[in-house]
Amino acid sequence: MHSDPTDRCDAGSAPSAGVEPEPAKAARATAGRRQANAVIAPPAWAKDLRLLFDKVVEEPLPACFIELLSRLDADG
Amino acid sequence: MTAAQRSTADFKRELIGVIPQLRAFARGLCGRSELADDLVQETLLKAWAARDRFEPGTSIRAWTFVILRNVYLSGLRRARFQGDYDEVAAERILSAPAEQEAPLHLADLHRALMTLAPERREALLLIGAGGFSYEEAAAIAGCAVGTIKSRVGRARAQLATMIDNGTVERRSKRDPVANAAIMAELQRATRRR
Repeated sequence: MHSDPTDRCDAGSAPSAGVEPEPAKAARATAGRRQANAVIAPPAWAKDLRLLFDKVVEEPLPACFIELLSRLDADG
Repeated sequence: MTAAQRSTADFKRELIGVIPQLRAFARGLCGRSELADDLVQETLLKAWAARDRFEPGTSIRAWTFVILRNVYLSGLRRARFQGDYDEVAAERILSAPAEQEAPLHLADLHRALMTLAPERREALLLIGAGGFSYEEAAAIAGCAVGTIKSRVGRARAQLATMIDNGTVERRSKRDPVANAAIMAELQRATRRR
């Protein structure tokens, strides 16, 4: 029976999944991907930043802006 | 209706459509709702005056953001539109309806955003909030794509550090050290324009 402990390096695979070709390498690659994702994945505050922006976008438009453009339009 | 009248009507309709986005960008840049709306009004005046230079079919959003940014930077040099934390806006966020997620977190984020250097805040707003591509944001900010990427990266790192460590500080124009830092950053940014 193959008992190389590195067979279990990939915590995400089932115990009966068998021997991976290069499990240690695969595990390192997975860890690397996780690390990369941790850098590029949007943090919670990124969503909140968008929320702050969208809250203003969704506010009712003050009449002064339309009045200004109507005045400019009328003036030619 | 003549072609010119139709063109003006189209321009006006497009301009009205982009006002909410302009307000959000302005609010993000200067942090105070009243000043932000002044900034948008000045932007509309300049956009209207320059309407003959707008090319129909191109992005009026990007075009007006450039104008707003220039008005903002001009005003900043005259000590207008400075990024002073808006207590009224913060209070409104804190007292927002219960279904809103983490209002305190939003207030912290708002405050943290206002402590960033103007160029980093602008880059983060354009990319992270406004949904512009790096290329569009670079065109609006008048710099290289790599510069925008770098500013966004630094702004994100700075924000993440402040929020994770709970070290969001006030950056008031009444604070001479902070104000000097803001103006130094601004001068560096505007020298590159």
